[in-house]
Amino acid sequence: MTATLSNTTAPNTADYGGDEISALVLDPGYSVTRAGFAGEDVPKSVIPSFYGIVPSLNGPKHLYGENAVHTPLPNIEIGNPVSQNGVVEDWDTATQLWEYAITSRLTNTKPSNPLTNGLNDKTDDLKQEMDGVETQERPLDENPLLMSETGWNTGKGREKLIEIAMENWGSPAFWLARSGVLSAFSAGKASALVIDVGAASTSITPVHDGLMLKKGTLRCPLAGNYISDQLRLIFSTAQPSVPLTPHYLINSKTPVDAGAPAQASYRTFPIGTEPNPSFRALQEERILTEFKESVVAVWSPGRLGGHNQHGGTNLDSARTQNARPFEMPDGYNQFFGVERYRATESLFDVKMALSDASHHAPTPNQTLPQMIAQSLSQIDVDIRPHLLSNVVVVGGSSLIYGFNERLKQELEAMYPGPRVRIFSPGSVVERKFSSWIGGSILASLGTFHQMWISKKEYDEHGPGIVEKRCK
Amino acid sequence: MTTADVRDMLGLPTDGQPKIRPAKKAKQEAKGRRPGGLEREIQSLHGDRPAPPLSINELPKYKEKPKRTQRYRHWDITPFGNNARKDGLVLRHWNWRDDVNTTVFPTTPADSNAASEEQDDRVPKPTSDYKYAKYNVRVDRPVYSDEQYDGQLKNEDWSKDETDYLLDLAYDFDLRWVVIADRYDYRPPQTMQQGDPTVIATPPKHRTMEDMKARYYQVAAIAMALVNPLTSMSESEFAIHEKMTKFDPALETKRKQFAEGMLSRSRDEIQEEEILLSELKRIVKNEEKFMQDRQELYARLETAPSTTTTTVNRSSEGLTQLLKTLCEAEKNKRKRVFGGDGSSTPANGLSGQNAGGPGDRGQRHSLGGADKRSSLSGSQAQRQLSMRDQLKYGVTHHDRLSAGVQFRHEKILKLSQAKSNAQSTKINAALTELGIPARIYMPTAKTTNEYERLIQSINILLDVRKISEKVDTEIKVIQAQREPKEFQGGDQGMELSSDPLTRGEGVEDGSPGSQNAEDAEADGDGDGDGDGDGDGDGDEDGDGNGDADADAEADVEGDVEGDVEEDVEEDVEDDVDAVPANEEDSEEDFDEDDEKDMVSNDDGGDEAKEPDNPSHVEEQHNESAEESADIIPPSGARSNSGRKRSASLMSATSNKSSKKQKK
Ligand SMILES: Nc1ncnc2c1ncn2[C@@H]1O[C@H](COP(=O)(O)OP(=O)(O)OP(=O)(O)O)[C@@H](O)[C@H]1O
Ligand SMILES: [Mg+2]
Repeated sequence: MTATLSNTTAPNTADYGGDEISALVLDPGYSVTRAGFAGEDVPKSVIPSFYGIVPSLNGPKHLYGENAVHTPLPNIEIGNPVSQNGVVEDWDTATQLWEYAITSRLTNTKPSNPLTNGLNDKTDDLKQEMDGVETQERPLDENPLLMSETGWNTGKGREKLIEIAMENWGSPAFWLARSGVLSAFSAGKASALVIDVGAASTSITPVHDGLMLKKGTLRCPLAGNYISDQLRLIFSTAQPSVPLTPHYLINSKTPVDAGAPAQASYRTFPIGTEPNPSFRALQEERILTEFKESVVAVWSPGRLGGHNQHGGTNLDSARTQNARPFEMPDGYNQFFGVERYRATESLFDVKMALSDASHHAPTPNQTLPQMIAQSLSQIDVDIRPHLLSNVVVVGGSSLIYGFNERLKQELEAMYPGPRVRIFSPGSVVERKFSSWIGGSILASLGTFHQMWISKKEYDEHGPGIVEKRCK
Repeated sequence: MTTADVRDMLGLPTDGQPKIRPAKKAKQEAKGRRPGGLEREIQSLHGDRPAPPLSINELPKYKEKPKRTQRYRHWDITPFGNNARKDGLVLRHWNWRDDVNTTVFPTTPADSNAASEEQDDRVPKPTSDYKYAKYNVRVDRPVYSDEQYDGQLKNEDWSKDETDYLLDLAYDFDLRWVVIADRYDYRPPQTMQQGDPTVIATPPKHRTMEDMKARYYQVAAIAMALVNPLTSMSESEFAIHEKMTKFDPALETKRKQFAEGMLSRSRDEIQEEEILLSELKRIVKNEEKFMQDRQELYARLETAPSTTTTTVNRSSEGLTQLLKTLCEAEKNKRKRVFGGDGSSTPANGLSGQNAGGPGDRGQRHSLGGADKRSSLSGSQAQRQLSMRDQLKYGVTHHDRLSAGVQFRHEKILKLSQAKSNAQSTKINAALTELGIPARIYMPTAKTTNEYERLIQSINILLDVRKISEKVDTEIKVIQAQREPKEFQGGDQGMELSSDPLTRGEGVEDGSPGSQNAEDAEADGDGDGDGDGDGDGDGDEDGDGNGDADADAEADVEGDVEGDVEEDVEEDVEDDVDAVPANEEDSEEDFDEDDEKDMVSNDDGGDEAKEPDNPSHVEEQHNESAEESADIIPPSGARSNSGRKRSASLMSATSNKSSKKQKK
């Protein structure tokens, strides 16, 4: 990360290769979209990738931002432009969402033009001019933009991204970088095996000399959302089942003993104005994230389904020790012992996966150790030991307690020969925003400014240039 | 009024101080620093004590102003071009106002501050380098024309199209082969597929990284040679070319297979390997130790040319010092051998070398058994030096040597001083007649020898003259007795009467005379030898006493030493036994022979041991006096005799050291 230099001394060019050009960095994820100025430590603008859809007179209206998404407006529906696979499906909404992320906090809101601020919306002849004005004042007229993308983004998707940046936002220069590569940069490495455990997907990205190795880049859906689903299954199959009622449905609650049924008064919505189930799902997700943060852990040493050195099963020892309390919004509270470990175990051991009709069990190949093995088998044998000693673990879901220890243990069991070293940022912020931080570093490097795809080049070669340049 | 005055008035003691002094002092002090705002009277009332803190005069201390070394800089957001780019993209960054030289606008920088729409339209031209543009480094792409390709680069496995694709990819990824192999995705061009249906049938070949490397290096090497023929390549270029032409994909593939196997070892295999490795390490370490021991052994057996300077050894003090160090080194060595410490130091090696000097050998024999034949056979076993070398190194062979140090000038002095004073004066007279000074200026070995011969000749001649005079007088007496009886003249008598000193005339007279003279000289030589013997005898008498002494000592100590030696040898042999089997046999044979020899040597060699060193030293000294390099000729390959020598030296030195202590 670029240190903020004292304003009285000149930067030493020998050790400081930064040259900030007020570029913007945009890192869209399934759950969170991050945007900010290159050269800064953290993204200034962090918004949910979800958006609210409320019906209005002119058809459904999209609402963006933290507040909009979590307010139970009548009939509110929650959408996400990014599919469960981590690829953008709804380009128009994605464009607007990202634009919101950029304009709401970063680029100056210029004094609104009286023609466009809606106050003088009367005549039709003005509309023509208004359009003209709008094209002149695009959000990124002065800021080069660096965007992150998933390792499995398609060529079409990449071209679409440069189109948005160049044509919708008028960016003077653009660059597209794989988020795995950026995460490696944020860890200060040009070569690394990046494991990103996010919300919708877990990805393995081997990076060599700052370039992603395509054949070794893999994705699997066992990530934050999967863990949430496992928790839902655990709660619903528990005896008695654990209620999962989001905050917005609770009017008031009274404290109850552990395990006792909740005593709360629930909020009701007038018939016909209840929020959509997708809204409830998002609110449940918030509780589950809280639960993951405070209770869920990864079992180690050994596997949860295995035996300990005293002959007993690890499941039994997990039942008897380390139980943690958690209180639901409705007041229901309980100690969670084995459940803590149960939800995450199937990331490593597919036999421990819970499943039902709507939640399919993952295949053995989708577990993390298997994915890493597959990834490594695809790349040159000479750099495998180096990658194993430079494993970079990032992503929000990797914050789960004990994750790194277990991963190391699994890797060492798989590769007893080479040294396995895991590099994982200690701070929550750096773990969640790693790919944005990597982009911030890259876009503020003096040597990087020759790489940008300029508007001129885009005009000359068309969107296909992104495939040629951003390798 | 001061306190002293008050005290005076009150009749109090004045602390034994003279009255005037304090007043003066107070005055001075009052002058020196009068606290601000204090009347002189009040102060004088107060006396010579320091003033009470009536008011605190301290100035309030503020934080120091930051020291600015330079004036503040004005920062501007300035557009800049980048000469690493071809599209003239202009970006903006913050820069110092006086540092805007990266970009020069048609207008002044001040104008650019008020950047308006029109100004943005003008494309600024970057006139100087963008400071990061210098990092824009690319690899060279091998170039070739179509004809060149058809001529030299054709390959049935690689189409030109695919070769081009490979080269482009290699250029794009700056020869990062891992990435190139990862991204390699060659598709034969569409047009060909349409035109020729057979091409569709052949799917794009799977290329391994080794295939790609092999092809690339092949093309690159040939292209390199095309541009720059082999003969005119620089060294580094040629090295690169060589490296590329020598690339062996099969070997590389094999290596990767091994690497893969290495990576996929199980934990047990790794453990086993670790154990084996540590075992191997142990073995190697042991072997090293054995080798060291052997090396030391050899160092003892072999004599290498000494490289130490002799300048320190010129004085007698230096010599005793040298002796001491030699003894000590030898002792240490013995200790170490017994202690099992196998490291050898150069000093020890040196002492071992000195032990084997040829001087030792001769001396030992000369004083011990005086067995000329054995000494000869012994010296034949050593490396024979040519005459020239012997001269050069000042090697001399003596049948017998006297104990103690001899200096040449002493020898010369001795030579010129005959038994009687009369004789000496005669010799001196003869020398002055010949124009040779009594004291030789340059007493080199050769001149000394010549001098010796000359003196001997003079002696002989003097003797001969004496005899002839005697004979003359006898003849005269007999003639005088006979004369009355019968008077006879004889040729022979006449001839005999010729004076040796006037022989020169005789030589001119006729050959028989010269013949005789020569005969006489030859005789004289023999006599000289005899004389020498006599001298030597005399010396030897003195020595004999020493010998007796030495013998006595040797009897006491030599036996003990001999025992110790045997132990040492056995020890060493034990070590050698552990050396790998193929070498063991020969070594053992060698050692056994040796030990037999050594034992027999010890039996008879007791007397021989002691005098070894003095003579050795004598020789050294002689040589240093001669100012010739003190190089003991290296003996030949390690030999039994060499070993014996080293063994005997060990005892000899210890003997000597004990003798020293006695003294
Ligand atoms: N402290 C925590 N412990 C466990 N899980 C957490 C924690 N904080 C966040 N998460 C989970 O991490 C996920 C978000 O991580 P992240 O921000 O890396 O995902 P993303 O980048 O938006 O998604 P993706 O990478 O899949 O596109 C969410 O599922 C959230 O529940
Ligand atoms: Mg992510």
